[in-house]
Amino acid sequence: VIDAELAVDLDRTFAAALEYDDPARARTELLAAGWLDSLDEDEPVATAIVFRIQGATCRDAAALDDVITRRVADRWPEAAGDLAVAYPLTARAGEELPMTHAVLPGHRQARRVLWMDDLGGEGLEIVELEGELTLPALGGVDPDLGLLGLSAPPSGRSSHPQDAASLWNAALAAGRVAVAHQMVAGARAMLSMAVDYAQVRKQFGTPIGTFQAVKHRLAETLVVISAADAAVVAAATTGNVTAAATAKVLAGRAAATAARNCLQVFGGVGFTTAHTFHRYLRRNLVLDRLLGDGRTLEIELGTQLRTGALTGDRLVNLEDPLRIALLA
Amino acid sequence: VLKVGGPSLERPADRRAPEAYEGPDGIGRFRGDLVAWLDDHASELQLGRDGDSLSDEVARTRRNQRRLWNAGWLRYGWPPAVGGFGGSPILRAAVAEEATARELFFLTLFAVTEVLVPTTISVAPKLAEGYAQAFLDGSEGWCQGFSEPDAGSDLAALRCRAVDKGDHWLVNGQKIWTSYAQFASRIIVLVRTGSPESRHRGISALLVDTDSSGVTIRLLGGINGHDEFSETFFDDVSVPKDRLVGEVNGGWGVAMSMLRSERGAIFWMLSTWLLGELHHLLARAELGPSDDERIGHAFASIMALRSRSWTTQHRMSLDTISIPETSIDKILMATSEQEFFDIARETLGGLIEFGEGEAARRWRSAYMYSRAASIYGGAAEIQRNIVADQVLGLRGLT
Repeated sequence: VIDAELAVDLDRTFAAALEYDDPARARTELLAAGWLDSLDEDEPVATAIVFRIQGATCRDAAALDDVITRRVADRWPEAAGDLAVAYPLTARAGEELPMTHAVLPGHRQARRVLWMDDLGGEGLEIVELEGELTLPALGGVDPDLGLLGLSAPPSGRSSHPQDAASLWNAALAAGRVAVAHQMVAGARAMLSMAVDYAQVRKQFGTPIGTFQAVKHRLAETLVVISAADAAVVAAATTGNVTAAATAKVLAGRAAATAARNCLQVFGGVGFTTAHTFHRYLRRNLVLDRLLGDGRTLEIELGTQLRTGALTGDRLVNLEDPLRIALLA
Repeated sequence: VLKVGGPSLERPADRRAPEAYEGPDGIGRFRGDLVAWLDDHASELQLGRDGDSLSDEVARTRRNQRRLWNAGWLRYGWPPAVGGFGGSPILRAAVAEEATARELFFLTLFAVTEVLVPTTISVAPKLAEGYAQAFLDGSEGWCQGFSEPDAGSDLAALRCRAVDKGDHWLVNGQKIWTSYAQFASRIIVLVRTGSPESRHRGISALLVDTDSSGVTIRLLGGINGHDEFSETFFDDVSVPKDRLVGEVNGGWGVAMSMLRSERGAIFWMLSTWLLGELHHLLARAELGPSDDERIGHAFASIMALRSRSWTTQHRMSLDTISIPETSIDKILMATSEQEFFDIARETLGGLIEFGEGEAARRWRSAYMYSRAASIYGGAAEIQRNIVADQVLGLRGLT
C-alpha cells in the first residue's frame, strides 16, 4: 500500500505529469509516471491523488477510463489493457441530446472502446476498432474539456461479457469515487480562489472578507466540501457501492454550493471569461452528469431505502481505518 | 448515595483487557464482542415505554448506564483514574453507537458525560478522580452552566461572579439553558474571576454541588414538551477552593475543550440515531415513489454528518483535529437533523401537526427538538464565524 510519505512523492510526480493542457499528452505523461502501477498497488490512494489533481487544475488525462476498465477487467479479463469508455450522458429516457455518449479526449487515439447503453450496464461490450477512433467534438457547456461525442457503438468487432450488470456495478462505484474526488477538488479550488479574493477586494473601505454575509457563504462552502471529502474517503475505504453513490451526491452538492457562493463573492468579475472561475464551474457541471447526477442518485438511494434494500447498513463504521494518505 | 473517593479498578472476568482491542482489527473485535453481549443481555436492559416522562427517561438511562458500567462496557476508553480500563476513546464511541442503535439511552442526557468528563480529566485530574466515576456509572448527574441571559452567543460577556474569599469561592449570578439541572448533583459553572471587562481572559470553571446553599433551579418549559432546560441561580454560594476546574482565569480554554468533546463520540452517536429515525420513518409512513428524492436527500445529509464524524473520531484519537475545525461537525449535525425532521414532517402527512397517541407525540417532540439544533452548543452563526475566521483565515483583515 501507499503510505503517507509515498503519497506526497506521488502527488508531486503526478502533478508534474498533469501539467500539460493537451489531454492526450497529459495521458502519455501520466502513464509514463507510473499511474497504472500505482492504481494496481493501492486504488484508493492512487485515485485520490490523481483525481484531486485533475479537479484542482481543470485538466483531464482520461484516468477515469483506467479506474473503470481495471475494475471491469477484474471479472472480465478481456477488458485488460488500454480501453476508452463511452459514458452514457443521461440517466433519463426521452431527453433529446445531440449525442448520447461521450469519450474523454485523453483517449482520442484509443483502439478499443467500452460501450454500455446505460448506467445500469445494459449492453456492455468491448469494441475493437477497425481503424482510428474518429469522433466529433461534443461541445456543450465545457468545450475546454474536449469531450468527443457518439450516439451508437463505434463499428468494429465486439465482445460481450456474461453477467454484465454485476461486474459493471463494481466498476461504476469505483468510477463514482474517482469523479467525486475530482469534483470536491474543483470545489476546493473555487473556494480557495474566493477566499483569496475576499481578503484583497475592498468595498466600503474594507476587505469584503470582513463582512459576515461573505464569511458565512465561504464557511458554508467549506462545510459542504469537508462533508463530501469525508464521504468520498469513506467510500474509497469501505468499497461500499451505496457509499460511492452517496459520495457522488455529496460531491455534487459541494460543487453546486461552491459554484453559487464563490461566484457571489467574486461578483461581476466571476462572470467574465477573463477569470478562471468559470472553468471550474463548467467542469463540475459536466462531472456531475458523468456516472449519474446528484438528483438521479438521490432518487435511486431513496427508492432503495423505501423498498427496504438498505436496512441496517450504516455505510461506514468505526473499525474502518482512516488512512492518513487519503486525507486531502 | 453518592460515591465519592477513589474509583474501583477491578475488571469483570469476562471482559478482555483493552490491549486485546488494539491493532488494526481491534475496534471491529470490540464492536463484535459488545454486540454479542448486548444481544445476550437484551432482557436486562430497559427500553422506553409509551408515556414515559422525562424523569422516567432519566431513570431508565441511568439504570442502563449502570448495567453497562458494571458489565465493564462503559469503562473502556476512560482512564483508570475515573474507574475506566483505559484504551482508545474510540471504544467509547462504539459503545455509544451500539447503545443508541438499541435505544438504551436518552441521548442528550447520556451525552453530557462526553461533554464534561474528558476535559475535567485533563485539566482537573484530582476532581475527576474524586467525582467522575459516579457520573459515568449512572449514580448521579452533572450539568453544564455556561450561558447566561445576557451571554448567549457572546459567551465571553458572562457575568456570574466568583470572588476569592481565602478558603472558598463566593459565587453570585445566573445561568440559563442548563440541561437536566433538576436531575444533576453537580454543575460545572463558568464564572467571572477577572475584571468585568476581561472577556475570555477573566473566566474560570468551578465544579459546584447543586445541593449547596444558595443554588436555585427554575425549570423552563421547552417547546418539545420536555422541561430539559433550566435557569440556575447562585446567591452567595460557597464553593471549596479545590473545586476549581483548571487554572484561575483558564475557564475559556476549559469551555472550548468541552465544546470540542461534545463533537466527538456524541455526534457519531447522533448519526446512528438519525439513521435509526430514518428507518422508523420508512417503516411507518405510507411512502411512495414521489418521496424517493427527499428520502435520498435526507439519507445523504445524514451520511455527510456520519462520514465527517468518522474522520473526526479517528483524528481526535490521533490528536490531529483543532477545536475550530469541529465547528464543521456542529454545522453538519444541525443541518442534517433539521433536514431530516423537515422531511419527516412533510412525509408523515399531518401526524406531527394533528396526531394523537404516543407515536405522534414522539415525532412531534423530536421535530420540535430539532429546531434547537442550530442554537445549542454554539449557534449556527457563531459556528460559521469560527470556520471563516479560524479555519479559512479571515480573522483580523483590515
